[in-house]
Amino acid sequence: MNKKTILTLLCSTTLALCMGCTASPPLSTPSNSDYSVSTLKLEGGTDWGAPNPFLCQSRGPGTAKMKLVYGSLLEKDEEGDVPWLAESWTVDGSDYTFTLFDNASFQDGNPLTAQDVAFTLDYYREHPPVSNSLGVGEDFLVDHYTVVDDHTITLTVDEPDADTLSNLGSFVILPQHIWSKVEDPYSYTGEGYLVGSGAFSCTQYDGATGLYEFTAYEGWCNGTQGTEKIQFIPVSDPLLAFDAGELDITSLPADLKDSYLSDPNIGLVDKANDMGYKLLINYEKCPEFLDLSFRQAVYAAIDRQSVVDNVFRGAGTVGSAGYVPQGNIFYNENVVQYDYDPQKAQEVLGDEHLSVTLLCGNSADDLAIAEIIKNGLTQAGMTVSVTAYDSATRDDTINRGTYEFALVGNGGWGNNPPTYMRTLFSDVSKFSGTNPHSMGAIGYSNAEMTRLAEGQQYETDFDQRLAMFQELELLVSQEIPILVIANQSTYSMYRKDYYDGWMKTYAYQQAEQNRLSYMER
Amino acid sequence: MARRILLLLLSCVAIYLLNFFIPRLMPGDPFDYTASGSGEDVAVVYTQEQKEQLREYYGLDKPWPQQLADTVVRNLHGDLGQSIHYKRPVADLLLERLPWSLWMMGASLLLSLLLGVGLALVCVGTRHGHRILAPALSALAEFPPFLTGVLLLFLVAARVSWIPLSGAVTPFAQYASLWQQLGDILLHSLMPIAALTLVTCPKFFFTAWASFSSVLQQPYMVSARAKGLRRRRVWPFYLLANSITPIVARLFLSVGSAVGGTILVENVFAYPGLGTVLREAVTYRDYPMIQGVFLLSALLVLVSLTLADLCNHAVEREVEP
Repeated sequence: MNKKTILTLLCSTTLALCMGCTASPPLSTPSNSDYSVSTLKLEGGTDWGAPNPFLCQSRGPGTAKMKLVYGSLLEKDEEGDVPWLAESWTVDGSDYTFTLFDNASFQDGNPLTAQDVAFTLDYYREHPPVSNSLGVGEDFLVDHYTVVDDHTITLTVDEPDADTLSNLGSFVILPQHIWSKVEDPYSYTGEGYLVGSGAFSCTQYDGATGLYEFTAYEGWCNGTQGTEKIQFIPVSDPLLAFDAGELDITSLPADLKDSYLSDPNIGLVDKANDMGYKLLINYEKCPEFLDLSFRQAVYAAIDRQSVVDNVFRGAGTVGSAGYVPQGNIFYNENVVQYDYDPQKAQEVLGDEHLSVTLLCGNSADDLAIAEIIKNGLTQAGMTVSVTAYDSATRDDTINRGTYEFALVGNGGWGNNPPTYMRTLFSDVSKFSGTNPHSMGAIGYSNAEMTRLAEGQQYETDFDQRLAMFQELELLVSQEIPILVIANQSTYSMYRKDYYDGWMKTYAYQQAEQNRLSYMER
Repeated sequence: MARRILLLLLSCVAIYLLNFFIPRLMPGDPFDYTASGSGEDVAVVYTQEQKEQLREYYGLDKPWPQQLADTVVRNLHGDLGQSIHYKRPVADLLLERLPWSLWMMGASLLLSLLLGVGLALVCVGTRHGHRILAPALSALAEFPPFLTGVLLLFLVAARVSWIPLSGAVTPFAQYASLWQQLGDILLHSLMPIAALTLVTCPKFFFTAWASFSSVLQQPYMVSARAKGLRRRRVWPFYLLANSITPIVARLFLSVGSAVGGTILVENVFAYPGLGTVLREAVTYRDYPMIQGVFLLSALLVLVSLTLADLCNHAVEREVEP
């Protein structure tokens, strides 16, 4: 056999391996079974941790996967709290009584009872899970519980507030028969570590490749799943993958919105104003800005519409001075509006010779917005130098309070505003040194703002709470301790002729992360 | 030789200490990372009490000297610690991902070597070959690996339906045979390996070309040609045999840049190697994971450099009178 023949054989074998013998990915085809579709494919490739309450990542995609596998007592829909593992509930003062579905069970077939709920509470008190709505230590939400019968449990709290029911309904239930033997849940990957109480069981998880597969649990007690399988697959470019039919839903850049939506089979999830950028002022470092007219001048100096037009490519709105973005059910239309007025800004700031350092992240959007702010303030007569760091360094600098002005952008503004307004504007509850996104202004305090921010939290009547909340927004817009620059809308697109179940809850806009998106409704 | 081994050990100790201290000196905190974009909203913000509990669990509440002592003891027992971000043992994660990176690195280095040497032979075997190859490969050498990866992704993979866009295997595929599985792995690594090969092969080309040009001037080459030996005998037994040492040294020297290139290219193609894990470990300030990846990479590079050093040493001994 000569060298040419050997070479030809080698090439042929390689080509045969590459082209002829490769496995074909399963196609998205409508299901013949009880489910609307057989498989929904989403972007994967990132290891968001094993989907259990102790090993999942703390960010949205990590906890969302865990919540597919593990059920909580309640779920949220477009309007409010709805049954999930608990069929019904009653509230009597500080007592919250939940009745489980008779046929609730864990994915290994064992029945799910009130004893499991009680065990979970005790276990979480000792070992807080990653996503924890119950608090830790002395702040643990549940004071005590009473197991009424196999399917009924009463949880008693010290001080109920408007969010207590949601918080009690949010913790996921563990199987006592598995976890009672586990001393260190943060490293446990033994038998049953993925046996959950949710609508989908985890049938494949490969952290290295970021692959997840969830399969509808046939013993699920509350309705029917919309898909038999949910798969998260690694992709290099989500748009290319969507075009190639490898994904059933993906993010849609604002610039491409019109071209994709011209296809009548493409559906859109509009996450309206969900991303937001704000300007934090450290009043301890810049006490001049305790003067309201200076803050108003800063607003007047910044061309915020330019942020929406040029940075967000038109997908968004100028930020509300009352903080809550437009379109949200809590948004107050009467908040004070601040127009772009460089002349007015110059009249106030022009002769003050103020100099500040503006801290921002090093992403392209952060830098572009920082540049617009800098240009506006410079034109008004201030001297501004921009310092950009990676997110972790920026967060650390803000947490330590060693900044003057800081630009912070984050998602989640379209979620439930009452949960974040208190930590931003109440002097007694505002975060300090833990999280730039929900951190109050350093060196600023306001007794009336604190009264309203605290008061709305403890008002359990929705209409009264809304009225108090909107009063808070109005006051915030008058005082503007934090300056909201702009809110960005993001989009997901999907093939609605294949699956049309994507939904947003009243408190969370990420349709891909809401478990009701995967249920028959 | 003893001096070289001593230097190697000292380098290991220095790198080990740097690996321990640099992540801790970086601004940021493993439990404070909160930056998020829309789509990955922060679902969890740890309270001060939770953070203290977590610090205690991962041993980060102790003073640095104590943490260093604990880390050394643990490492000597083969335990690289528990990843804070992934919540799994670092050693398990490295073992899971290292084979993918090694495959990509090894295959691309081998292909670069063959391609570079082959093109260098074309240069020395033809009169005008170098006029095209030298400037073309000079330009290619300046391309960053990730850019080559992105170009291949959009210009090739996106247009050829049978080339996968990302990943290491077809998701959730059921293989009928081992050959089918190997074929799938080979096909998925085609673009990442091509990207790395394209940027690495110029190094081998220029080393081999210089080495061949030097060897071609040697009297034994003139003698071989004068004897009427044919090229198929002269090239392998005279030219390649006498040029091989610097090329092998270049192979070992290239491991360092291949590690860097692999990390970048893996991120472009969502390839499940050490690159993606390192990116996330640095982003989330996952100290044990950063230490693990850097330690492994550093050891790989140090061993390669030592081997390159030994090759060069062998050359020096050969040319000594």
